[in-house]
Amino acid sequence: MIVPAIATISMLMILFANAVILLNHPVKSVLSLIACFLCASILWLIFGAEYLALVLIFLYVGAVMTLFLFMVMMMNVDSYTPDEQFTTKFSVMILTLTILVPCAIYGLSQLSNPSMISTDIASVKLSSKNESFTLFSSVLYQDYFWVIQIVGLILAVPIVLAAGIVKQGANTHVKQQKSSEQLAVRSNQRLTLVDTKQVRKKSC
Amino acid sequence: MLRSIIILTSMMLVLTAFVGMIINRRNLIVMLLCVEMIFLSANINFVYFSRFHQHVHGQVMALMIIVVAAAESAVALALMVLMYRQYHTVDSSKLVNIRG
Amino acid sequence: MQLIKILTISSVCWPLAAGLLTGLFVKSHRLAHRLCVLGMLLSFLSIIWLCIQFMSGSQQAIVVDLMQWSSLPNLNAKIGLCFDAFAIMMCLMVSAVALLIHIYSIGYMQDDIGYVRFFSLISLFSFAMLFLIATNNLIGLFLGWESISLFSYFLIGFYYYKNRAAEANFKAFLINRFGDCAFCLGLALLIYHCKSTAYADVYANINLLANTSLNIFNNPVQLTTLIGCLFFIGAMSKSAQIPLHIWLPDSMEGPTPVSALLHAATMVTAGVYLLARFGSMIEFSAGLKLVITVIGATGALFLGMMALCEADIKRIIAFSTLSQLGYMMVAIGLGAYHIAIFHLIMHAFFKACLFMAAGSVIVGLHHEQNIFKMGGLWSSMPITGLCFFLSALSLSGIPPFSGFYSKDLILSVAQASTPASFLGYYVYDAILLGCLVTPLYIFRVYWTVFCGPENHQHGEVCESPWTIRFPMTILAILSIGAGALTLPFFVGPDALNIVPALPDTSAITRLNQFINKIVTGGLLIHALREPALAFSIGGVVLSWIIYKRKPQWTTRHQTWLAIPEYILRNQYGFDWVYNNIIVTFFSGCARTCQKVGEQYLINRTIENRVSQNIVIGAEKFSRVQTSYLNRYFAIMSVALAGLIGISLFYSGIL
Repeated sequence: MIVPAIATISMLMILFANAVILLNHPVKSVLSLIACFLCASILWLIFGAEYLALVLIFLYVGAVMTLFLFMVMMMNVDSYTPDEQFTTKFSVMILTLTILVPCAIYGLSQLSNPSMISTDIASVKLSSKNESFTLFSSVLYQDYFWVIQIVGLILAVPIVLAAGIVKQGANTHVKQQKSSEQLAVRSNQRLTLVDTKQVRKKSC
Repeated sequence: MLRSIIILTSMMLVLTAFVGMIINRRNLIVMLLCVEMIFLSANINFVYFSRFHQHVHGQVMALMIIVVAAAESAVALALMVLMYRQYHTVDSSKLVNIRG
Repeated sequence: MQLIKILTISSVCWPLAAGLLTGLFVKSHRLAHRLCVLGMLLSFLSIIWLCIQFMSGSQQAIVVDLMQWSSLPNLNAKIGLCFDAFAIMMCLMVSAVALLIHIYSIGYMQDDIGYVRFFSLISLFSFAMLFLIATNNLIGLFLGWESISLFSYFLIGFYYYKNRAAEANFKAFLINRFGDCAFCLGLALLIYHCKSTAYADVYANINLLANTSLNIFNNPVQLTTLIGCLFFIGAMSKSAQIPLHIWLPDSMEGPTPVSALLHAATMVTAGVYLLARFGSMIEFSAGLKLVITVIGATGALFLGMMALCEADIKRIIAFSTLSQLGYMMVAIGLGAYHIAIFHLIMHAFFKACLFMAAGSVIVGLHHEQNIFKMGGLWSSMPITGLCFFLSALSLSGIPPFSGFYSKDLILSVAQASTPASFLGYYVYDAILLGCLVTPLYIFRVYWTVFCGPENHQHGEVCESPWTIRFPMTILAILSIGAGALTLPFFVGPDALNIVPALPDTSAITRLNQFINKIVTGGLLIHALREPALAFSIGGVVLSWIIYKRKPQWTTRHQTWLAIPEYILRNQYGFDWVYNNIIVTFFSGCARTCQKVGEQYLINRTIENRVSQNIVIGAEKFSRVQTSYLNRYFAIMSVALAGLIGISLFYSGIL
């Protein structure tokens, strides 16, 4: 019962993942990634990692992905076009995949080798949820207490830095064309062209 | 069986992300999304095998990866905002100053 | 005990502190000279205090250990200071002369761009010299010896923008390198065989060294002889003895205070100091003593004669220094170490005074150094003229002056103890003739510069400021009276204690008894019976006749004077030999190396091809740098796949 469910969710996840790279608008890509994350969190719920599943939804989908969405909408990014030299890139891609995929298949076949299976899948038998949660939190705050503090610091510093970078502003020394300012120019800011012959005539 | 499914899923995720990286020429945001996908596939493995070995430490590891990934995407987004201010685009093919 | 320790350290280290402070931080001229003079003054006062302590106490050497240099199992190396009678005497002289020259430099170096640099360097030099004298071990000796070379180098090349100065300091440095090389070898032998660096251990082991011999080309050589020879080569370069003397005349390119302090009073006497310090070792080898005597006597006569044909006032005094150093070497070679030191100290006073007077004239005439473009300065510069006159008399060895005592003692010793052979007669005759030559050249300068017709085009010449006059006067007074005052310290039964650890041989005892006898019998009465005094006075009179009374004499005899003049002007061809044999040989080697090694091998073969290929390769390789992120990523993923493949292959799965 549980295996087909997991399989289905996995299929959905891969589908959404393909959508991320194949859809031609960034907003759609971000939305597909959110869907992908949701599938993953469902998987984790099934595995009994409720805390992580919630973190994924709240922290990742709720915060980071929303940030992405904001960015994409704010920057008004136009739809992307594939590489012009797609054929050469494609050949590289094929090369990579031909190496990676056999590796993967071979690894999988090795996994189904009964000698490697030690205690099969305690997985399917889900333990009581309460127990897993308390276990996780106790490990987190006893064995990994200082690690968690450091990781928190690692999270805090880049966020402050990111804010700082954005606040500092763009480098104004770079010369560039600003079409909006060009369009908004008024007549008195323009260079006036004078016919010198006319002027001379007037003065005479 | 279940194990095979999970490993295959995560592997497909990684491969999809790689392919996405390679075929996508322009959009930095999509590249960043692909990186997030790679992180996700690693996390799926961690969580599943922590369950498999009846060991909760894998989940701790996954938590840390999530935290680091969040930090990374924050910095990357900040850089992208800067780039957008400078060039009014997030097209990576515009960043060609170091071309040989 | 604590006070003594502080005193000994402060007597050496104040100039160091002042020099470093001035060199590193000070910008203003006034602060620079105040600091340096203060440092020197403090050092001088501490040495006087030490001297009083020493005289009033038990006259034991004051030894202070400062630090452990290294503590190897076979080598006891401590750094420390030791003030015995010898060191105190030398330090007193050095610090007094250095102090006076610091004051003199305030006037002489006025408005020079390198004013602060000059004071810093000269203070540091004073420190190095004091340290060289006061140290109680071989490592300290080495440090002091090398650092006086270094500061001499800096100070000769003080006007580094002048080509002649740069060449002169290069020459001085090279020749000193040669001597220092031998000196280092001697030090190494001494340390190796004594297993200690302290002087005390060296003196204790001297008999052992004398009994050890080393095979050189299958000839056993006594260690004392070998080390003595090496030290003598070192001393030859530093004290400008005959084949290695050529740097000293050229070093007059430095400022005059430098010539006075380094190249007359202190640095050039370091060689004499070294030989006297290890006199107990030289005493073992009669052959070496004879060599020292002969070289010294040759220098005393022939190098002095070069001054007769020189027109540059400073170079004349430099040649005179060479000749006087020869006298000191003769005294060393004859075993009269304390007489050598006596002459060294007297020489420091009157020679520094001569240089100062010359400097005063040079300043008064706006840096004119040719004596034939001076003349008639007595009326405008009476004090300078008087100082020059007095110190010239002292240099000539005219009785009441200090030079008389030391020089006459050397001559008496030479007469008494030179061997009755050809070389012995040669030595005595050479230094006797030197007595004639000395007044001849120095009074030639005096009559030409201060008397005679005015030849300069500088209009009104006025006397130098008090900063120049004051030290000059003090030194003139010292060159009058110092000899008579200090004579009791250098003769008498205790005089031999000045030279540390002198062996109690009969020859030395006999020599000392002889000196005592002539001094107690009245030195002047003794001198009147000897030819030396007559030669000196004769020299003064002769120079008066030739250069003052009948100046046309030299022009009249031009024809037959031309040959000796040619020889003397070319300085016996020493420079020619060095330039044409040694310099040519080495520069030929260098040029060949440059041609073969650098131009052909490196430039043409390696450098060109390598650089061309690098450029070509870089052009090709830079096309990889497309700056497309996805291409980079594609390359990365291929590499990743490759890595996975390799790891799978080596773990046996694939």
